[in-house]
Amino acid sequence: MTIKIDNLSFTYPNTETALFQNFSLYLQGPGVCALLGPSGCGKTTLLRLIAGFLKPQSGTVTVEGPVSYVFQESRLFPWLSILDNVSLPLFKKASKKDSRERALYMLELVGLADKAQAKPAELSGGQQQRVSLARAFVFPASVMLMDEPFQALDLPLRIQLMDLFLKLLSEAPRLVLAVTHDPREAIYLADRSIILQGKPLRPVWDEQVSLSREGRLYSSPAHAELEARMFAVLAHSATDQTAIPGHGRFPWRR
Amino acid sequence: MATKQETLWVLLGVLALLLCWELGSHILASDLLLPDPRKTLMALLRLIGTRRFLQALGMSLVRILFSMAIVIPLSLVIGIPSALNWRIQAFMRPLFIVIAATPVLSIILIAFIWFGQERTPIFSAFLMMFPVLTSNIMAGIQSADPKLKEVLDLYEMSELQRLRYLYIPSLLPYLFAGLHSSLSLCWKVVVAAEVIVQPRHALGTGMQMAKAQLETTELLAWTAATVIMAALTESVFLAYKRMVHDHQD
Repeated sequence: MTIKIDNLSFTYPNTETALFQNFSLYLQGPGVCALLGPSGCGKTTLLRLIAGFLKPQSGTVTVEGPVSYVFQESRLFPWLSILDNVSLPLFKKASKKDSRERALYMLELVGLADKAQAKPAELSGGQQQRVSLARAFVFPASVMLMDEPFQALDLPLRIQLMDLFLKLLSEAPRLVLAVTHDPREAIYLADRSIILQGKPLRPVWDEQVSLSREGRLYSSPAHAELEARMFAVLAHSATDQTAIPGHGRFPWRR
Repeated sequence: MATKQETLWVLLGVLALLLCWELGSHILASDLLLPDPRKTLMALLRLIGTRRFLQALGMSLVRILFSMAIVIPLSLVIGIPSALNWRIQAFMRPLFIVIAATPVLSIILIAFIWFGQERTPIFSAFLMMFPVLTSNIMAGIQSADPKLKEVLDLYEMSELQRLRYLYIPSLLPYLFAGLHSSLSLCWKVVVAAEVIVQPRHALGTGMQMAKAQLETTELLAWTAATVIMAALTESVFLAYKRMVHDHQD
């Protein structure tokens, strides 16, 4: 359960600025590592490089074991039933019957067993993301990549889904690399948080989060303290440094 | 409500066409030039009762179905790899250009030399529909969502599984649209070929015989039968398409 990135360099075609230049990172699981940074900085690109959707210009990305992915949008096949959408990753190796049995168990865990025969369009956005989580967890992956899967949801639903994610992770432990732009999400979920900034990207924060489950709750003082520290770093990395009061540099304070 | 209104307007359109026809035949005042709708209807009813007509209708329908049965699998076999591989696409392009640019009548005449009376209408219809259907299938494959393709890449699905779970469902709406537009084209080409090559039992042969005997009323009756059959097959096709669409949804 490891991801090893060595001297990675990557620049998008037709752009001049390198997104990654001799970038190295080592992650070992099981556990959750949150990857934070300003929007559009290249967090998703890093996930796509790890998943093999993009090829680096130089350097190596080594992932130990199979990979599953929870995308920003649910990416369900509209013509397949919810059950078949969840079974899909297993079709390559297991029989359809076995795949569907395992998928149904996973759907029971995410509370959608009664929707097994429905099509994705019949489900709400939150339910679709639960199916997407079930699909990623049903696959026996060593490494799971998550790209802001809870971003489009309101706070109560987001917390509900994060709890569901933690429950599924305890059932099927693995190394999870989760991209988010919300430090609160990182504190709630992750054992390690990394903040990336700059061009080319480099880590400006890399800390193990050793809070208890209670300490991770949004309402806990320990959460608030860590969130403030992380916000300060994120605000510093933001282009508009006056955006976050208390952390940015205000023109009249110069 | 909207469907009822729509039906009403369609009926009004049919009535307007019949009225123009009636008016035209009244002005021309010659059954040789344009017999009125009532006489044509009577001639059609007389024809429907004859063995000759039923055999002709049946055989023309068989030719349509036969050409469809050949063109659909062949378009899939050529269209899918062409969409997925630029080399095959480039290799096939000259053939499509030649077929698209060749006049229908040339195709019918050449096919007559090669295939004889019975098979020429089938071959001609096949050749007319093939580029339309293949290009629709290619467009369908190319419309497949790249984000869903990434999901299949991630789980290392085989080429057959990609076809089953992504490409075939993506191309179905395009295939149906292509078949819809090909169906009326198929009737036109089959009957045109039948008129020229005159197989033993065919709607086109009936038209040609009626024309040779200057039986304009009967010629129009054969034509009306063709139009009605084309409309009927289209309705059956649309009902099937709706069924598949509902099943997919």
